[in-house]
Amino acid sequence: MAAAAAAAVLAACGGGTSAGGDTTAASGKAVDTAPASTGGTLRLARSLEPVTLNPFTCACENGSWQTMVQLFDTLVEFMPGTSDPVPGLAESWKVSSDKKTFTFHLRDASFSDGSPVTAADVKYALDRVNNPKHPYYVLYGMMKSVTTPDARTVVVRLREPTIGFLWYVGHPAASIVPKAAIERMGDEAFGRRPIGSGAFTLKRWVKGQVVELARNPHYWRKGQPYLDSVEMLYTPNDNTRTLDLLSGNVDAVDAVAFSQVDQVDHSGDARVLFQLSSGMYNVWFNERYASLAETGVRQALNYATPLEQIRRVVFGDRADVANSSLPKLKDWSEGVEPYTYDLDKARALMARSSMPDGFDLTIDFASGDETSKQVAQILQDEWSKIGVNVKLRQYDFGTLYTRVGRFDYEAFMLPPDVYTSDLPILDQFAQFLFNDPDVLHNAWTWYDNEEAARLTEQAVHASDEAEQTRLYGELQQVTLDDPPSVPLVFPPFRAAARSDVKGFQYVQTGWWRLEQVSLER
Amino acid sequence: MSAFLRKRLLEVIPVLIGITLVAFAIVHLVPGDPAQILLGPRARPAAVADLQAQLGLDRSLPAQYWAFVSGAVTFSFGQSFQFRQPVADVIGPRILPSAFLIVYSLVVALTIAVPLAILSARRRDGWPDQLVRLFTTTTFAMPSFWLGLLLTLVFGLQLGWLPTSGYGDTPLEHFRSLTLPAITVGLWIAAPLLRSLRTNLIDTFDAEFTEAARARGLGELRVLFKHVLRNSLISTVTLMSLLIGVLLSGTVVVESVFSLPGLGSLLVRAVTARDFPVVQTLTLLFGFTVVFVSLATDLLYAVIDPRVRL
Repeated sequence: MAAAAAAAVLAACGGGTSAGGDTTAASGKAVDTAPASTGGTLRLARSLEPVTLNPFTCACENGSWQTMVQLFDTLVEFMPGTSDPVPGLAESWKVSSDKKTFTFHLRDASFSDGSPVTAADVKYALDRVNNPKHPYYVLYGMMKSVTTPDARTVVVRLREPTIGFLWYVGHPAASIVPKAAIERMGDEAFGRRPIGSGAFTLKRWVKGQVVELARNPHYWRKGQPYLDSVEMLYTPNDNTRTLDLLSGNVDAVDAVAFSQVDQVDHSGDARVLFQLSSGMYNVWFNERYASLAETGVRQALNYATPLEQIRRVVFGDRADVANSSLPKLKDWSEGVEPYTYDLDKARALMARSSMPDGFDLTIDFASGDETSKQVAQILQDEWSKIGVNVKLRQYDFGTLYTRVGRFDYEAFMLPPDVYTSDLPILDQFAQFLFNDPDVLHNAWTWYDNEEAARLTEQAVHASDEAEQTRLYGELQQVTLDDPPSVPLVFPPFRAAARSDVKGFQYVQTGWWRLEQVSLER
Repeated sequence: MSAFLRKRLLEVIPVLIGITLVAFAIVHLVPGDPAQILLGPRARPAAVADLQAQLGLDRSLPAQYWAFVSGAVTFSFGQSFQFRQPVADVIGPRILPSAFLIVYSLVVALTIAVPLAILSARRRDGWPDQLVRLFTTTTFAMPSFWLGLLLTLVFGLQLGWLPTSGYGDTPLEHFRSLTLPAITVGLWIAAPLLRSLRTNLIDTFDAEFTEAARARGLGELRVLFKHVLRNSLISTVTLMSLLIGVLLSGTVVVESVFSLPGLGSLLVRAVTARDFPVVQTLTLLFGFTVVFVSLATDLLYAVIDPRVRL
């Protein structure tokens, strides 16, 4: 209702509720009160590259989302430091009390080719993502109908009450595009020369090298973007990115390696910005592997894991210990206690299991993933104390994904920046991990917990926010008591920028709002 | 055309066929499904199966091989899986940066190797010779990515003389951006070139015709360039043609470290993504290059050495 809209507007002023508590002071939550200077080109070296710039030919990876967020808008948007949506192309909205009908009122905005953003364009986008073949159909398949009573109003009716839908439409997969243009150009051509209502337009894209963006003069946030243009340089090598930043060759970088954080911070020219990510950093188990089928064994492994030591040694105090097999998003419950490091309890649980003498376990992870190598070596040492002999195996990404996808593994780890939720709410990952038994078998873990599945179903379709929070809290506890994984830490994203760059910060889901960036030169 | 040349060209054909087989087999034997990798691990099997059909991966291996070879003969290499563009369009713009890097590296290598080899050969076993030997052993033993980063740290970051990465937009910027990568590869290649040339120079300095030339009263420089070097070049040219394969593989690492948009960094990405058409075509391209450089070297002998008749 109107209250939801008011709350959203308040959130836009930086005062919204946030589950994204950061571990350092440089959180990006504080809004610069001094007026930002306009002009200049931001050179950003990043580790990813877009595969496509067409939201509907979903490559569903961060490289593309990061670029699309600058070119397109969604009905609602997410800002750094908060997990609640703020008005995007929808300047206000109403949610029916049964949480099944969402009415969006569009603002006065136009695409970069001058044509106005109308309800027909919104309907086109929503209808396209409502497709069983779309990887996010579990979210958008909730839509029963999209109607447009007038050119500025869109009414969406859902099959079941879904509070989270307001967040689902904030994801770049539901970017609003000009219907006439994309139908005329076709998907392929549109993916190479996209037209959107976002802060920037695409000036040049040399695959494997650079994406160049230019200011969109029609952008509806008046006064923004501050920058004239942005150059996103594809620089996959960690060391090269850091050298580029320190030498001044670029102004900002993403994905600073943990081992290089101090070097950047002490340089005097640049600083590292931390933002809690929407990701998980766990050791995942395959319960089809007989030794891991028993809950008691998985609990034992959790008790035998020195979380504090790992946090300190590997992450240098920059991440919080994880108390959940889910990421730390909205509705994260502080009340759930993480496992303590207790070898006696671990041994007792192993003694009561069907394998009191222990067993062999192979942990698979990606080559080049130095963080996981460090952690896995600590676990190898610790878990041997309860009789579990760990072997480590490294594969290149492609092979790792293929093996995991075929359930051909015992335990696996992904690098801290990879396993991220696309939304700042728990719906997507809760479904994926606990309520998706048929095709992907609960994120390849073969986890079988009916209560978790039931709680997920109820939480996603809860009748009000308070009940949803309560149900997710219960889910968190249930899935920690019967753990599909060993949760380690809640990993932060690390961006770094030179001292004259203001406003550059990660949104919790892994992209940036570059219209907020300015160069103070 | 001489019999020798005809024979050499005929010999090339089975080699080229063998290269296509290897290029195809290697990438298909590596585990990992391109469709799964492209769509990401969370994709539904139905979507993966769809994409596999689209990419032609559901055909039998011999059918896929035949499609590749028959297309290659007409210079039609298929569509890149990750870029959704014709392979020729993906590879084309990257040939020049790699070629530029390779030529630049060779120039750096020769600039280092030739004078130092002459110095070493002249003062055989003296302290300059020992110093040069130490230098070449050290640079040859260094891993190229480590050397590259070290050079970038010193000349790019601390001294600020050269860019730390990238390729630039103008020819002058290309030249500056490729300097550190070329030095990285050049230093590495210079070591075997230097050693080989030094040995040949020592042999030639000791030869009778050199003594005869000196006895005739020719100046030292003239003796050096007209007689000694020319006679020492044959083995070194042979070595250079063998090193072309090594050079090509060296660029793979260096291009990734310096973010150069060349064939080497493309190969790394294509292998990671299991982009079969691109990997196959690049392997073919590299293979052909080595074969033809080897052929060209044989022809070059005729130019350098009048004793060789084609």
